[in-house]
Amino acid sequence: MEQLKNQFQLEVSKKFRRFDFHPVQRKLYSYDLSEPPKLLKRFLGIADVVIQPESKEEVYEILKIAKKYRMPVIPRGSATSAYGGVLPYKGGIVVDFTRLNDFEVDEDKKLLISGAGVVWWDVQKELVKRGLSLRVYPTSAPSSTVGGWIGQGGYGVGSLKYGSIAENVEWVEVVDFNGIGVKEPSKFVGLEGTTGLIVSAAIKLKDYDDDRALAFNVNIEDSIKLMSKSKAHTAFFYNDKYVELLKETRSLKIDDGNILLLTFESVSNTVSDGDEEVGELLWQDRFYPFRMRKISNLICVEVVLPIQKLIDFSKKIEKLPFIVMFSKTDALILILLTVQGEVKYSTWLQTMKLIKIAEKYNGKVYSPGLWFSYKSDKLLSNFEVLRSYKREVDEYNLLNPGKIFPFGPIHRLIKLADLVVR
Amino acid sequence: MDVEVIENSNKCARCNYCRVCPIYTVEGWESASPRGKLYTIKSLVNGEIDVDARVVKELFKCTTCGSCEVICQVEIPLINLWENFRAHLNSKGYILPVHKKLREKTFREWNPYGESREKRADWFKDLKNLTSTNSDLLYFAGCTASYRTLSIARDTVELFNKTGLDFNYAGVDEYCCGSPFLRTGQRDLAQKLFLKNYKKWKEMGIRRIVTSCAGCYRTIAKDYPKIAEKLDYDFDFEVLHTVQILDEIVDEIDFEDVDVKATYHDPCHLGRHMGVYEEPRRVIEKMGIELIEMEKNRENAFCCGAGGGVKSQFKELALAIGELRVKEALNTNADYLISCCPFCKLHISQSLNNFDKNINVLDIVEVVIRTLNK
Repeated sequence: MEQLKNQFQLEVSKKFRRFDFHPVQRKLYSYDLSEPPKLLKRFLGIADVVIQPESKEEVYEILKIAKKYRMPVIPRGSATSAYGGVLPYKGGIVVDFTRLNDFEVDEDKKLLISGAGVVWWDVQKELVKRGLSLRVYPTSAPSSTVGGWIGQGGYGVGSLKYGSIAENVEWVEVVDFNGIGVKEPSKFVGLEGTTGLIVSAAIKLKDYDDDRALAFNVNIEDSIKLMSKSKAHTAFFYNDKYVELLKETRSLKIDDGNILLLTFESVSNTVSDGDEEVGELLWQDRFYPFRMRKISNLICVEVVLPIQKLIDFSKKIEKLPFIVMFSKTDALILILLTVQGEVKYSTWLQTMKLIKIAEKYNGKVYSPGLWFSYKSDKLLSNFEVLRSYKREVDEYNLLNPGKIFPFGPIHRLIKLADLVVR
Repeated sequence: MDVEVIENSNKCARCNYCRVCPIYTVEGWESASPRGKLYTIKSLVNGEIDVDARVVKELFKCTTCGSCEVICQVEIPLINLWENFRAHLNSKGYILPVHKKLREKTFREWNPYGESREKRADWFKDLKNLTSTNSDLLYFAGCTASYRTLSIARDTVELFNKTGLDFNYAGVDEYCCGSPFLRTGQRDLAQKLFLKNYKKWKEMGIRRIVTSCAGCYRTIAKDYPKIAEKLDYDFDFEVLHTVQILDEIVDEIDFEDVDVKATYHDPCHLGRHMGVYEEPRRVIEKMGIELIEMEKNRENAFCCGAGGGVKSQFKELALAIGELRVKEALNTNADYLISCCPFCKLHISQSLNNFDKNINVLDIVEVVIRTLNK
């Protein structure tokens, strides 16, 4: 065993320029935003090595080594998700994609051809200089990577008009055990690298236009009406409890009560009676949901449900601070839970209780990742197709094992907890 | 260990917005990022990892520039946190070899360069007649302007003279302010240096102190009052940076007409640490110089790479950071890169060596002296 380990280390050392076997570095590449309780932490491994590939060819070399030594491979961008998707649950090679950070712009086709490690807001700044803009980007855009969000999937700023990230990816370039190739994105977006490692992608762009943000003091029913008939590209609803927190932590001069924020491309703005000053304040704040943590430890529960179920669901959570981000058909709700001291198993049970309530309203957890992989068959409509594709391309289950496709004890433990939650 | 360090390291949301850190920008490893460092501290406190030479080295790779503190969503006071944790490491005997050498040199000659104390005021030899021993305003040149970038010190006293500002100077009895030691956690030595300077200033009847150096300014204005409070000393000095005086008198100065473009580098210790952003810009504009901002400016300015003990202990890393700042400056196509810190000037000038294109790197006082109407 020791000999095999030495052989593995020697081979990595010979083949790659940027790698690290130091135990602290390996630990630093074995977390994300989630705070698992001690009970679950016991089942989590740490990376055996961290490699930072500098080309797609190096990514392929990593897979060759992984296959030879039967090592799991865990892709990692900025690790700004909280679903365990980047955790090296069973140890293995953590592949830090941040060095694949080149991009080019096809201005005629309005496409961004981006390396997986490019940071969304960095590229947006460059696009703006060329009169172009991303159509959608995540609220963690100042640090999250192109590959990271595509791997995670989901909604972001701009999704009301332009849909989820899946609807904005033209193609992905993927590395799997068979080689490197450009693929149609549906088997890769939101799949956390379990079906292949995304090394680059083509992202749809739009012409740049100034954003105009307007705030409205309206309840959730009126928010839905106003949002539906507007031409906004982004809509956020902040409930009164969330607004209270905002005022406490950010010293924002805004009125009490619920707020709807609508943001328009200035050319398509037909609404004029909103509050521009508050709108701008909230718009500038869109990247900073964690500012609330300065007053107490908070955890976020994210659920997605059809817009028509939102009013009923919101009544069930009205005592908690929450934000809603609207897409064309769905509402992504981010609910904040205050935690006293460290995150315990009971905190997770609270989280699961909220998910269960959402499920009664046709809602679902935002992403399966590691923690909710036991729900993947219900979260992904084409789960069986994906599972059979996974088996086809990943014979030894080395591509980010345990994520999306349940594996090992963690999903069983959480599923058990799910059963006892009422 | 400081309870605040523990509490604050637990607050980190791990959003990674602190990737703006110049060390992380160059090194690209999580261990070099503020987020990674906070996780390391948390893991050390929880006994999940052990301290070894590598861990200590990584924790000292920080210029204490404060860009992480500016961007931090949960507003962790990170500059203090890094300094407190370094002090903790020092107290446990973890000190990096070059930092130890600086300490030894300073105990010998009272400056971290290890230059002879007797030569500290050599730059001033032919300017002695400019001082007024009755003045309660002290010019504190600092170690870098005294031993490395002498023209800054010389031009400053010449400017004071030309504008009729009476000042006094402690000569060889000026001691390092202690900034490099506060930033690298060696608080005992910083305290000793405080005591030596303080005693001299009191003997001289000083009420106001003006310094050319951003690091000295931060230390004397922000750290000395805390040390004084700890030792139960009064600290009733008014502390200024040269640029603040310039900003006050610039309207009375007669400048030549100039047709040059300049960009301004915000020294971290003057900008993010002390909030002095507009004064230098006003002075530059009053001189009739066209100011072209670099992309990262004011509180988002990119560090030159020299501070926090990085230049001394991690030379290549410091230069790589300096080169990134130089690139930004060259992109402006300005004729001059102006700053307000001898240490930034020294380091940025050295970082220029690997470029074909050139830009004149000057301290703001040097520019003022060159543009005075003769």
